[in-house]
Amino acid sequence: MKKYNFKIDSSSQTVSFKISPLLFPKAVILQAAYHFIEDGKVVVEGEDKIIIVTIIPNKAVTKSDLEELAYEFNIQLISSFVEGEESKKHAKIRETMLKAAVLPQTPPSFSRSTPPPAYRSPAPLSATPPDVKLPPSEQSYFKKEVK
Amino acid sequence: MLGSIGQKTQLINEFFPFPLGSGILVTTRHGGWNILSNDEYQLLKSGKINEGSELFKKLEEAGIILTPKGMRKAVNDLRIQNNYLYLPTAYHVIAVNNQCNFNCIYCHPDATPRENEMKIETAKKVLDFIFSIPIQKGCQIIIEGGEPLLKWDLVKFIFEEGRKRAKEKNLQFRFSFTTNLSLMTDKIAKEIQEMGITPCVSFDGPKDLHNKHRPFVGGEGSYDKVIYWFKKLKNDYKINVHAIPVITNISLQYGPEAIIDEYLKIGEKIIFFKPFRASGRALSSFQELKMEPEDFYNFWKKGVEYCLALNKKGIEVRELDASYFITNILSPQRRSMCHRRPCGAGFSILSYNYDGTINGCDATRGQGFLDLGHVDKDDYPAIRSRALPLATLSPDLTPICSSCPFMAYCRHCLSDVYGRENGLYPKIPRSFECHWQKAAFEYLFKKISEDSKDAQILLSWRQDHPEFSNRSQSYVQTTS
Repeated sequence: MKKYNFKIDSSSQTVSFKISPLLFPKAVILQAAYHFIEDGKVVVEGEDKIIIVTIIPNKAVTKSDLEELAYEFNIQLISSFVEGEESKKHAKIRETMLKAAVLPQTPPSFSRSTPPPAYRSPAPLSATPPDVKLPPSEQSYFKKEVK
Repeated sequence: MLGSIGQKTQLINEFFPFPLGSGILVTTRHGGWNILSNDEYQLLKSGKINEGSELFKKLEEAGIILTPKGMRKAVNDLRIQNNYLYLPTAYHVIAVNNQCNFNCIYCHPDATPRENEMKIETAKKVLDFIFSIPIQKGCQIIIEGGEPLLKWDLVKFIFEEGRKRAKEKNLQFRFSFTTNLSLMTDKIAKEIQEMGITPCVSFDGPKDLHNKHRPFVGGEGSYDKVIYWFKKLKNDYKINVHAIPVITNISLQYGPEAIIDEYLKIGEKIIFFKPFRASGRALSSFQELKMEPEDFYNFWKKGVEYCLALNKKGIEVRELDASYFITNILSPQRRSMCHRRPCGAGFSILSYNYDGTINGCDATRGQGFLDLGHVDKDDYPAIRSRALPLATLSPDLTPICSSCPFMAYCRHCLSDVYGRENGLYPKIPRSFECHWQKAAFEYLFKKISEDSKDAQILLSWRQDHPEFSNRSQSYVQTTS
C-alpha cells in the first residue's frame, strides 16, 4: 500500500500526520489543525524538520472514518495554504482600502489630562475618501491578468 | 479622485466564493456581493472580463472589480461599517439594582431576591459621567435590573434628571426600561404614560414555556401576570410596550410557530429569536439550556418561513435577526450594535452596575471580565481608551473569519463567547454563533435569489436608513 503522510492507529483511535515545514509553513499547519478542534482533541508537536499533528476524535470511530478524517485534514492543509497565498496576494489592496477608510477618522485624544475630552468629530459619512494610492506592483498585476 | 490609479485602471478585489444553488455567491471584505453563474465565475477567476460587459458592470457595482468609482464606494462602505468605533457613546444601560422577584433559568446578571441597589448618589455620578461625554445629537438611557420596578422612585429620578440635563445640552433624549411587569400597578402605569416612555418586557411565548423559563422566586409561573399587564398597558394606557423572547433548548420543543402565535395574540409584530447568552445563571443550567447550532438554525428558519407565510396572508410580522442580517447584506449601515463586528461593547454602549462599576455592555455585567472602571474615579477618556483593545475582535483579525464569505455580515456576542470559551476570541470551529449564522446566511442569500415573493418580503425587512443604497442594486432590482 502506498505510504501517505498519515498513520492510522485503530486501537487507540487516532490519526497522526507527519508534515514537513518545508512543504507547508508552520502557520498553515497550525491553521489546518485549528479547523479540527470541534472534532476531537488535537495535539501538535515536533521540531524544525518535522511537525506531527495527532487528532483523537471525540466519538468512537471506525478505521474508514479515521481515513476520511485524514483526507479531510490534507484537503484543509491545501485549502489553508491557498487561502494564505490569496490573502498575501491581496494584502496591498486590503491595506490600502482599510487605511483609506479608517485614517481620516483619527480617534479623538483620550488623554485624561485634557478635560473636557477634545472629541474630534468624524468625517461626514458622505465625504469622498482621500486619494487612494495603490502600489505599482498591484497595478501591473491586474493589467497583466485582465488586459 | 483616484488619480494615482488612473481612470482606465482596474483591480480585482479580494473576493470570497461560496457555492449557492446552481451559482456562486461572491462576496468581498467590505460586504459587496453578487451571485454569478459558473461561467461568469470562471471568467472572474481568469481575470478575462471585457470592460463594458454586463458581467463587468455587475462586478464593478459590487466592488469585486475596483474601478476608481468602485474603489470610492468600497472605501466609503468600509468607513460607514466601522464609523461607530470613532463616535462617542450614546447608548447607556443603567442597572438600578440586582434584586429580582423572579428566578429566571437563564438570568444573565444572576439577579437574586437579596437587596443590592443603586444609591441616589451613585445615580447622580452615573448621569454626570454620561453627560460629560461629548455626544453631538442625543443619548439613550435604558434602565435594567434585577427588576427595575423594585426601585421605581430611582428610575423616575434618573428619567427626570436625564431629561433635564439633555435639554440643557440641547440633546435628544430617549428613555426606556426592561421589566418583568409583575410589580406593575395602575399608579406606575399612569406615570409611565405621562413620561411617554417605552417599556420592554421579557416574554418567552406559550404559558407552559414562559413559566418554565421565568418563574417567581417561589416557583409559581408568571405568565398570567405578564399577559394581564402587557395587554392593559397597551390597550388601556396606550403605552407602546414591546416584548422579547429568549430561546433555549426548552423553547425548541415548542417550535417557533407557537411563540410567534403568542406574540401575535398580544399584538406584537416583531419577534427576535434571541438565543440565551452563556452568562450568569445560564452557566449553571447550561446543559439543560444548551442548543446544538443545527437545531437552533432549523428552529430559526422554520420561524422565518412561518413569518413569510403569514405575510403572504396579509399578516405583517418579522423576525428581527433575519431583519438585521438582511440589512447587513444590503447596506453598510449597522444600526444594531449586536450585529456589528466588533460588537458595540465599550464603543457604542456602556453599562453601569448598581455599585457604579462601568462595564462594556449590559450583557457582560454579571461576568466581571469587561469592567472598564468606576464612576467614582474614571472619566470617559479613560474608559474609552480601555475599550480600544476590543477593536481587535474584528473578523479581519480572527482566524477562519478572515477568509469567510459571510464575514462582512455576521455578528458575535462578546458575552456569549466569554461564557462558552472563557476568553474574548471566538474559537470559530466550535462556535455556536458561527455555525448557525453560516447556515442562516446561506438560507437568506438563497431566498433572495430564488423566490421572488419571499425575496420581496425579506427585502422589505431591512432596517437601515433609506439613504443607503443596495450593495448590489441591479441584482436586488431583478429579484424584486
